[in-house]
Amino acid sequence: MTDNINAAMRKRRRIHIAKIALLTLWAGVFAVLFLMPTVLTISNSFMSSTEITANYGSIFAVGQAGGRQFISERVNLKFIPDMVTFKQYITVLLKSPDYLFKFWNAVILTLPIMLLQVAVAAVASYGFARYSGKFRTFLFFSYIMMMLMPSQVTLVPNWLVSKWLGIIDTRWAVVLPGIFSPFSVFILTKSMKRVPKNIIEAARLDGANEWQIFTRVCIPSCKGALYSVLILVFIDYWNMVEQVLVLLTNPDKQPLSIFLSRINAGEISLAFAVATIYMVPPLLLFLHGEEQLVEGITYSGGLKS
Amino acid sequence: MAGIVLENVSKTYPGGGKAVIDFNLEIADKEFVVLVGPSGCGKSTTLRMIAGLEECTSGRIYIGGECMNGVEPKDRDIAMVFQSYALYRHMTVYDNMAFGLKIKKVPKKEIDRRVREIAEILGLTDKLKKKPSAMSGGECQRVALGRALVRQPRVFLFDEPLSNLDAKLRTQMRSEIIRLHENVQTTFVYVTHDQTEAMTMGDRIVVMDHGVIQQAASPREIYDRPANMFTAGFIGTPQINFFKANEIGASGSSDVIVGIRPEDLHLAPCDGAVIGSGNVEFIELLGASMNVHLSMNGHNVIMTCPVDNSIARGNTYEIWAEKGKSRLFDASTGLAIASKTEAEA
Repeated sequence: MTDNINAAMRKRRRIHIAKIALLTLWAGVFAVLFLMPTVLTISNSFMSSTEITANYGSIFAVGQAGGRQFISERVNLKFIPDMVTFKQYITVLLKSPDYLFKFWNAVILTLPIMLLQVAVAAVASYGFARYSGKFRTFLFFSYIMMMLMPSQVTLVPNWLVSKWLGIIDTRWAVVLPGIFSPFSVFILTKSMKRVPKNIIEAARLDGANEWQIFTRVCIPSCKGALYSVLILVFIDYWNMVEQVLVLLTNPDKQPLSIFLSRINAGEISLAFAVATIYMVPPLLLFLHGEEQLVEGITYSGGLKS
Repeated sequence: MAGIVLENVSKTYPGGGKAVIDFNLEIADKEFVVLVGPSGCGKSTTLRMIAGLEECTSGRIYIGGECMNGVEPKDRDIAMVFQSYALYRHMTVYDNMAFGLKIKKVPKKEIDRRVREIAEILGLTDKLKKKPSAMSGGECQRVALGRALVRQPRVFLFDEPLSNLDAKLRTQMRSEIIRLHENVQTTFVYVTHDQTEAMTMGDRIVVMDHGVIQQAASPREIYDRPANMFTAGFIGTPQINFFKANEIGASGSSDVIVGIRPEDLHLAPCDGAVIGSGNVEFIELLGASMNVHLSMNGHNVIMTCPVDNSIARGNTYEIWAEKGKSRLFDASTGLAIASKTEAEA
């Protein structure tokens, strides 16, 4: 009897260990797949120009006029540089101000969008969360509909409105449409609705007016969601391409995200260093507010709600 | 300090549901009034109308002689303690308590003095820097009390403040609130569904059902002379026993209902009369006393008595009712027939 129980327990333990091993393997494969591009970019940014050309020359040779010759005719994914060099970084950061200029363009386009979008979304979501009625339901439904549309759909109307306002080819053409995002309103409304009604009533009894309830009770209560929206908006607009290509054609005003796609054609060796530098701000923002980002998305009903 | 008057107050929700119907009540200055009743009886709605968190559909509410209809909650000079504490989670205990005063732009020194004084009274001095998430339910409720107290309002409103606490804390907080009322000498309106809280705390109890006041009187009066069968059944644990008069050999027809409290029934001869014989179904031992559940002619009868080991399950006993302790009610209206308790069952 006891032997049978022990054998059954051993079998269950073996199955349990096998399950864990399979899950770990599965998760490991996906982790490697997801991490590989990032690791490749960072490690390759420390390679010399010659080494990068030798590894990836064939990719960039296609379609190039002038019949340039490359050492390698195959793509060779290489993670460890033959010789670590900071030359690419020195070129990007010190010798070619062009890249830093584009980086700065990205900052002055993304920051106003990020801050103003969250400010507008916070006020709108407070309204959606606090007031009821048919008009509110209709408006919120419209917001959801707009959220479901791909951003490319609104590009033409945005261009027409920008043209009409005379702001085409200025930063406002990108910033203004960016301020009013239904996605942020949706996430923050979910979060604002989670602020208990009793807390708002307690604030009213404490003498707070609507603005004080919003700024001193609701906003701090939704800190997690606000931070997660800030990060998501930042990443979204930090990587923007289509909006800029359509609304901001002046290359001097374009951000590094546009420049990155072109840099590959000529300066392939710099591409990895520039991409690595470009990765730093979103990464820092994420690391700074990782906990609140996770909490914010979880309590806001999640991205997939 | 202020008294409260509710004059023909009614509340009807947009869907047509009537929460409060023609509510009339005068609460004297410094009085401790408890609104008690089952869930959905309109007691919280009444409290929220006093607070201004809900508008009454008709009628008038006066606080300190001033009509409060249409007046914002912040301008009513009242404080409210909620069941869920309603503390600002992102603020420390100190900031929670100081919030109302900061909004009113009270000088910082005065805020500090008042917060520390109340914290001392409530035993929160060493917890002023903590956030509500790091505190127990009892401590949170004390902070909620403190937040109300520092504002020194004219009226305190309590919306089932002890419902979320365990039995031990509830008893402790109950006595703290009673002591608080004695110290601050302000009008207290307290809502609860727990009749023990109502009986132990209030100067006056207002029993409500279906949005209507069933009886408003002192706890003793409500217990001894309930105005109707609802009040008699709602107040008192275990619940009062109801019998048709003719079933227990009392004077009167089947239209008369006799109510006898469990402690007024005995299984041994006493100064009273036998109302029948009952079979002991089960016994609930409560420590010093016990509840005996009997079956008498198909009726469930509950009696409370000191612990007596001779009473055994399955045995049949004569049930005695104490003289002068029964209450009579009209079976059709449910109203008490006589204000005096009936002498003989």
